[in-house]
Amino acid sequence: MSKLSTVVDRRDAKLSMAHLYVGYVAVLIGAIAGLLQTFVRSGAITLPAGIGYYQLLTAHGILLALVFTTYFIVGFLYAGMSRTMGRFYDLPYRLGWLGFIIMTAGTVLTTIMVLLNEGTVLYTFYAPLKASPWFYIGLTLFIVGSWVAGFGMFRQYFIWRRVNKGKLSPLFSFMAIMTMVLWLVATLGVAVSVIFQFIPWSFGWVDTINVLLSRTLFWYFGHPLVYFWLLPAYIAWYVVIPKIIGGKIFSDSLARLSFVLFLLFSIPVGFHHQLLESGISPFWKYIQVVLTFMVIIPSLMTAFSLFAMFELSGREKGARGLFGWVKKLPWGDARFFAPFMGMLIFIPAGTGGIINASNQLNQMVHNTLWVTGHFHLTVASTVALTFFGISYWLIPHLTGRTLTKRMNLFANIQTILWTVGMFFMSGAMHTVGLFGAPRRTAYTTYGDHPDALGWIPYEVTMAVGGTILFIAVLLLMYIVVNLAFFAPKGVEEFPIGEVAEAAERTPAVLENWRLWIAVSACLILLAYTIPVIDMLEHSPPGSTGFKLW
Amino acid sequence: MSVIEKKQSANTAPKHKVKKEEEVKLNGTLVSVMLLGLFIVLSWGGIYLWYLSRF
Amino acid sequence: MHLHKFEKLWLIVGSGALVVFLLIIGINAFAMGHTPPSDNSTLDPKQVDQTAPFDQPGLKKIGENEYEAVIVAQAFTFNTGGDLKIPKGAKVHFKVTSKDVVHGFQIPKTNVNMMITPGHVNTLTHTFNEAGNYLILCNEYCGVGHQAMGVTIEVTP
Repeated sequence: MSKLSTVVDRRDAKLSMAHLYVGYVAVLIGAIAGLLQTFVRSGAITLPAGIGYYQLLTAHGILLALVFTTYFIVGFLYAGMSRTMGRFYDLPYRLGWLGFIIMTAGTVLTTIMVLLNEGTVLYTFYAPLKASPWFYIGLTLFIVGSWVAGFGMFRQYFIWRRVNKGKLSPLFSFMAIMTMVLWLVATLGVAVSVIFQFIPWSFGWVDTINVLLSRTLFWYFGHPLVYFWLLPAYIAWYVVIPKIIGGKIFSDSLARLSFVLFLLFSIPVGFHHQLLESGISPFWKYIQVVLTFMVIIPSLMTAFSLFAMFELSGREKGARGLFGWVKKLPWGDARFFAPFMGMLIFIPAGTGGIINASNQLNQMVHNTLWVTGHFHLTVASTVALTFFGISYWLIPHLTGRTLTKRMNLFANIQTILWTVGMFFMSGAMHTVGLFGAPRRTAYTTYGDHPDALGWIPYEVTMAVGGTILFIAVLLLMYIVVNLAFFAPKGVEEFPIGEVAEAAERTPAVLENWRLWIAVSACLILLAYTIPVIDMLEHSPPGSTGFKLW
Repeated sequence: MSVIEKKQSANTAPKHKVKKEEEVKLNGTLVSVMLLGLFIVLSWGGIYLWYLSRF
Repeated sequence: MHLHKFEKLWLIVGSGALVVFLLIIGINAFAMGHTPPSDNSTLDPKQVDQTAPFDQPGLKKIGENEYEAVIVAQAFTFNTGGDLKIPKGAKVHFKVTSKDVVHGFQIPKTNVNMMITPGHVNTLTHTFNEAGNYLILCNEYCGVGHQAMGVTIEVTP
């Protein structure tokens, strides 16, 4: 293979940037919806012009949790694979654009349906609330587009492996492929549900839908979805951050092992989102709770690897004592600071996740604002701050510009604003959730019930936090636009960490895809076969659709 | 195999100080993860006790 | 694959804590009878009004300070067949189904929290040891009036 450039090929850069543009437009619109929601919920305003609270909530969820994340991830992974494996070959490159076009068609279609108030079913679209068929078709196109993008990456990786026989693939690319394999396996569930249940039902070709089955297929997808968000952040933590802090990747094989474990254990766990519903036996719920706890282990490994990476690099720079290395970290560098705050926030975020998944403890928190607070720490802080931190070097790298001192400063301020805003918003959500305030609910006092009146101060705190977060989003937009269009021309580094040269070879078994996909399939079959058969055998008559908005 | 066996200087030429793995100093890491573990156990335990108190 | 001795220690301690969590909730669930609500009975969601016991929702005394509360969830209310009023210390078995979409059934300040999916019945038992006015609310989005979906249960001293 020709000598690898450290700069992403211009052509690949355009493909990657196209994804980032759509992603950041989604952030802006989604954030406006989010700000308005906090005002409505605290009773500060009522919405004008017939806009519904739940319509905004649907838009907020779809634009931020699906559109921003997926576009950013595909753009980031394409750029990173191009950087570590070389310019994309023709077919994978074309698949990248084809995926982009299909995904965007789907996004536009679904967004139009939400704007027309034909799809106010929230981004989880639980049956038997019935949206326009075009809402579901848009979602299908979105998923299919992301598959096509994934096939592009698989193809690139496959060609690379053929050309570089016997060589270990670059860590970044390995992790990118793992992320897309996870996504492919996970989205099969929701695709089956949408194509075979929702679309025929919403067109009226069939009268009824099996509600429990649709929810089970959704959550088969819904939990690995959160790992699909998290894994690219982990890629940045494992591969990019070591370079930024002037250290080395702690261990290539442990990094790969943790990603293998994510593939194995993030999928057969969907019941922990259905712990409180009928028709699934407590035994199978508990089995999936145990499997859920297995997926905590690679995160425990990651925590150790990251601290070790920080400590080793600090000690190389002369740090002494137990925590002297903390002072050696590049606190002023936004490329480090933003993802670092994301890592820090993952501590309460992950802890909350363990509580959520703890079988009957879920009765404390299920569908309360605690859960909303929880995923605003995971996806909206840990993942989002890491993605912002990536953008601060990735965008200028791809557009041939540089991250100036001034923008770096703004980026650090952005990180602080985000952290403070989220502290108030998510903190209030967690607390009031434990008092019983439900999630996904407009302003209400339930006829001035004292319990509900007691929640209002917390809802006001949420609005204060939301306002700070919105200011942070505006600052983010300014930085992103500057880095994409106005920052001085130059070369911004795409940081890729190195493993120590003399390090032992990574065991080849970690790259045995057939093996890991087979084990993953076995675990899925183990966790789901019997309860799903049970569900089908004991299913009640199906439900007709309802449009209650 | 691991990287741990090698400590390398941060950016410049490799001044390999080949050390035995046991000597790599990760005391700060150990204390950090243990504090993290303590945080998880206390949070989880607190919620569990609260759960029990609600029966 | 080689692990640093501290990493081994951390993984043992961390996994150990997870095993302890699982044991605690496992024993609490299966030995002490606190499995999450998982009722297995079904009915035709279009025939709720004709299907016993949901044809007559309401509070029924079934024992010494023990009640069954049969409730039908529908957008955007809970049909409780009249006021829910019980004395302090009463044990109530909630038996709930839905006539339309998915609803939630939650009583703040208690562990009563379950999903109500159409076609299925869900059940939970709670003993009200303190007097007061408890709120029953829907915590799953069910449409434009979702935020109004709540009733109260009065526990008299």
